Amino acid sequence: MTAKAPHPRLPLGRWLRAALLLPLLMAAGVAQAHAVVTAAEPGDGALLASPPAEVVLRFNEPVALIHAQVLDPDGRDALAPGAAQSREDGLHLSLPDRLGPGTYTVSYHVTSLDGHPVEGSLVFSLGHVSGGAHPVADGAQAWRWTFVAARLALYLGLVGAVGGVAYARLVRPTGPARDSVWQLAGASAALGLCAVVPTLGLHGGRLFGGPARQLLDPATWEAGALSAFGCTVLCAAAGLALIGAAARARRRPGAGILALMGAGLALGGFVLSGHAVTAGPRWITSPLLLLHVGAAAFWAGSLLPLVRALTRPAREAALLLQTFSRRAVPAVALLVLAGLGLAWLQVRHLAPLPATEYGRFLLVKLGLVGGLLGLAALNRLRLTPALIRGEARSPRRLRRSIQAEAALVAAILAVTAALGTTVPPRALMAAEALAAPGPHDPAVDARHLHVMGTGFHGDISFAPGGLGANTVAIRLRDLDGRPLQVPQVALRLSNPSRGIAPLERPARPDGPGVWRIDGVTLGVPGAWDLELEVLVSDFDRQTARARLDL
Amino acid sequence: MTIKTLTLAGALFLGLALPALAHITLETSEAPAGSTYKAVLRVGHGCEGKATTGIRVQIPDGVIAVKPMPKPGWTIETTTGAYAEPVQLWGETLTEGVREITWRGGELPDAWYDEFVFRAHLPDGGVPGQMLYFPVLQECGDTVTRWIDLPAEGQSAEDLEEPAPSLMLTAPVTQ
Repeated sequence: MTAKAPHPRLPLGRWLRAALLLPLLMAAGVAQAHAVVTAAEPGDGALLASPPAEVVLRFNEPVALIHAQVLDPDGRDALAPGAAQSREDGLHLSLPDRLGPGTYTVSYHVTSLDGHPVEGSLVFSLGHVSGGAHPVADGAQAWRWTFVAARLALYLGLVGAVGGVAYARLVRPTGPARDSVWQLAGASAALGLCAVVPTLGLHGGRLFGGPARQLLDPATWEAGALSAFGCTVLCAAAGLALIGAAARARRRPGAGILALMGAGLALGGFVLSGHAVTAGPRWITSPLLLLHVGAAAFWAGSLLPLVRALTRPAREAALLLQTFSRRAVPAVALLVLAGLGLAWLQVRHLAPLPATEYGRFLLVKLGLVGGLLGLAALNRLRLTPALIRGEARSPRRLRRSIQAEAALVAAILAVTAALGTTVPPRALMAAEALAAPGPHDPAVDARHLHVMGTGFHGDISFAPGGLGANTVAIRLRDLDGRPLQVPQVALRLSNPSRGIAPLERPARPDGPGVWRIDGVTLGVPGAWDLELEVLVSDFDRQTARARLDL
Repeated sequence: MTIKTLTLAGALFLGLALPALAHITLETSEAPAGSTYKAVLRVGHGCEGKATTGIRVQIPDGVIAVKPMPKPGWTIETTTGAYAEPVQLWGETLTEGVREITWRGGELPDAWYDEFVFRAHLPDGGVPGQMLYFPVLQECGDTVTRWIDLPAEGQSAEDLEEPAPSLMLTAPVTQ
């Protein structure tokens, strides 16, 4: 073999270099730079007929290059190693010969003379602005469903482990029945722990998009683990580990307390992320969600221990079933009420439910829950009393019924895992409310964000809301909801996970309290960070932040 | 070690050697509470290459008895207004005073450096460690750079793109 392998573009190397430079950069931080781009070829937002040979960025002072990238329409870095050079007259990025049509996003990270890092981005398009209709080969759907599968495994593990702990506490089995509950809880904790790592990576992959080999990039994992959902998953992992440890040491004193702590930790993580907590004020949504998740775990997690309980001698089995039955009634009531409350916060109106993906998943979930409640009622009112009376065929019938319940629970958890990957109607409704008196055409799939700054609310909508060129409408209100007139508004967009430094776009006024930016090009999918910068008065500038997931 | 890295290291070294050239800052960044303070605003560059044609500074609450120093070639205007609360200065109660100073009419090319000076009395009741911010608008023809960003809680002024010039109060000098 004579050919040398191409220089590997391991992001790890970049990290290392950044980590080494960081203290230096921080020491130099007193000095703030004002190296700014004075000219760029092609210009920001340019639509070109033929591919340029290079991108040239001129600055008002000499700069040193840290890193540059040119993301092509498929979201891959089009720059060859060494293709970015800092020369006296500016930054030169040599582009490869054959560039396909579509939108390119150029990002640069440089240091100016005084050592302060400066970064920025610009976009240009060849032939047409891509995104939207242009197929982006990121396999978003594949990411989504593998992610849902991993999340389902995590949920099953959580329900089994936390539910097992709750069952041991509330139904109080003794002897071999108690042992078998601990075994199930331990096995469930192991299943959940196995799902943790794939869940994090796949979540990162979903944020990034792109092909499956994205998983080899540490940045994918970092993005997954550092997201809000990542915190929930890590909390769950810590809780599961405690439960697993308690299950192993079940004969020692203190195991029960350890398991309870684990269950609390695992459940507590749920209030850290997700649609449900962010739907309304957290002091309402957090307790509702905890009740919902806790009761669900108790009920669903008790099913397998109950199936095993049926193999115990008749009197013991009857006693366990009876105790569970008594405890389950308030738990199920709480579960359903809290669930309906949370759903109400998301949905608000029943009519548009089937029209959205979220609504359809929710209806399926409600249907399955209805079936589950039916089975539960049958067990409580008919089969359990029959067991207590000692009817011969009752254990078998009850076992079948509980197994059916467990299957329904698995299906419900699967739908719940999928629900988390859809856009809830409240977000879409905020959109309509924004669009109603607004100047721009309400596209059905426009993306809407709400931000809150000191002294103002902002609604930002992206139409059509996908990749490619978007029109951004910004509506500002004061805290009483009246339109807020301000002298100046600008939006900064960056996509740190894809290395895209802030693109700054000034807005132009478009009616009282309304601002508009045309032709905002989002070249790659992933999580975009938005900074809405509002000049409230000459000396008062406020910034509000939000995130747009594409 | 590539040339790129060496260049970068060089740039960083320069960065260490030449602190705070680029922002508009106050020359003296610490002063005792209750003292008379000579504020020198240092302007090291224009707005993205354009010459500076005006400087406006807002006086924070508690800073009183403000007097700008005349500056040849520049016209000074002050805006007076009520203080947030009446203050005692040498036995007198003051309820209003200068809240904003504007220097206009001159032209300071991007390549040159200049200073804009005023005097003020710092709050008597100031706590050591308390920060006072003097937001500045730098006007360059029809563009404006706003040195008005204040650090949010837990944020350092170094994280801001256009920080307001700031002054930290130290313990009052006792006689």
